[in-house]
Amino acid sequence: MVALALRVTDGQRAYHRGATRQPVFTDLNLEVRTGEVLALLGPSGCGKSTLLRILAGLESLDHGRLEVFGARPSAPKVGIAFQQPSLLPWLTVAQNVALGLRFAANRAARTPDAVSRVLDELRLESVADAYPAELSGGQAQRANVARLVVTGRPILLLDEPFAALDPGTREALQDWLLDLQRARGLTLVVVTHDLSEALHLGDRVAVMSGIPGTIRRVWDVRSHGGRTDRSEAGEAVRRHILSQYDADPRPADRPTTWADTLSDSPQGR
Amino acid sequence: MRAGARRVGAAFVGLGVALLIWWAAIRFLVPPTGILARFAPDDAIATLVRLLGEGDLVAHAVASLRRIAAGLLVAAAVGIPLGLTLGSIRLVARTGGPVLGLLRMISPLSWTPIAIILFGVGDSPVVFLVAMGATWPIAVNTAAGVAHLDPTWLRVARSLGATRREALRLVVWPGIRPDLLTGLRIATGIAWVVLVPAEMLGVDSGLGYFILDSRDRFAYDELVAAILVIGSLGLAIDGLACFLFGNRRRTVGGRSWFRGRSLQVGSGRGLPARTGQVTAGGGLTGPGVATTPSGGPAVPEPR
Repeated sequence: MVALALRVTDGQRAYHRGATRQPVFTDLNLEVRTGEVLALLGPSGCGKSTLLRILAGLESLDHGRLEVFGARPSAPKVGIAFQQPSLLPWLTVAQNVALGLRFAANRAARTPDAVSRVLDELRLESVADAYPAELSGGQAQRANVARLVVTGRPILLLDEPFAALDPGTREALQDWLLDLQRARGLTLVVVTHDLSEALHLGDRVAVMSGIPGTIRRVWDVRSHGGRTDRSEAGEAVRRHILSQYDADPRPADRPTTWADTLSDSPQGR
Repeated sequence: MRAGARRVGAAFVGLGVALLIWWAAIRFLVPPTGILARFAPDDAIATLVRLLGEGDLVAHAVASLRRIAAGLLVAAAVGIPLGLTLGSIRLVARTGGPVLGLLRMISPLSWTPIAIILFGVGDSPVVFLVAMGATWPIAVNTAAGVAHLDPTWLRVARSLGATRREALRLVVWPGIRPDLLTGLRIATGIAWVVLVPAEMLGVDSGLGYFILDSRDRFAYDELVAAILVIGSLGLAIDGLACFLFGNRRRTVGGRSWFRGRSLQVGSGRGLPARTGQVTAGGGLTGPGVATTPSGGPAVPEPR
């Protein structure tokens, strides 16, 4: 049995604007396995970021259940990085990375060399004394992730972390992130609307449909070699995910011709 | 260092020229036996040296400084919480904003009769008038600081497990600091301007009182000496406020955050751009691609 880091069961969430109730997602079921990278792919406005904030505990479900390592969320185990690095501009990189440790919730992660070790590990030591405005986009995003890593949280949620970067930096940071994930055994959920990024990063790719959002499919990418796999099967996975991604929102239970031939898991199970 | 010395030198030259103009105006435009001749700078400076030696003027200056400190303390105690509330609660901002706008447009000295009714004579009404002038810039700037606060900073703090108090101490407070300090600096200037006329009402110490007293004694040289002390102390207070509350940090996005340092963004042979041609600039994030065409030196291609 696969150990689960996160599980959402029958999740529902809506925003209320005056008397209008606008559902963001309905009947959402998602499982994130411990130690995997799950790429969450979907069109803009399908509720990816809302789902991420719910997983991080920043918002709550209207209905349904969220479990973190099989239990109700309690101690901080989940960290979230937003699309914009949001580093505090009056603090240096080292001080930004140390910010989380100043909060009582993370006192367990406080060690004398915690910050310097993470800066070293994430190749940020050369800019430790720089201010955010002095960083390139890639450096800022790495510092943003470092701020989470230092708190020792085993699950990291990244909301389109590389969307604002140029293609070269983005690819370099994708590999950097995977190295980090492997070295620390992290569980990552990465929101993206870039298919190639999802295929490159994700052990599995969860495809969300449009409004109201739901998880339409979860594709096991690693078993098909990921982006580097140029075999027919690998290309088939890519083509199929692309067709799912580009298609108009359809009911989640609508059968697809590829579904039975690939090792996917509808509704994330 | 050299630029700083040049700046100080230029300031002294400016003061010297002003002094010369003042002296020349009295010397050449005023009849030597007229009352205005007694306002000459040479007499005033000699009297200033004498008064400082006697210690009387110093005691008055200390009384004024004590009142301005008390007034600013009251203004900060009222203005900062008021600004925090106005900046963070939309309903309060909408309802209280116009009231604040009205109050800040009233000259603080207009409150003098009410100050005397409320507090009688002595230090209290003076402190009240100073506080009435200084509260509003502090409140307005604090509210602006809260309104400008990037909401993602608070989300980040919350996601990292910050309690409300920790977020206030480590994110909100430093986040609004540039605006708050600007407010304090403006308030200090206003407080000093309000203080002197306020001290002309019902007190027996302070620089404002000393001016009235000098006038009554026809000691015009002492009056001018007091004016010089007021100006000099005001300049010193403004300098101190700049030092304590000012933008010693480099400005980013119109706000000051970090201490100045120079960064070399680009170097090399320049960017040749021919007339009528599209020149594309490419590169990884951070090499200064965006900076070069906008801020870098234009290097025309040799003909």
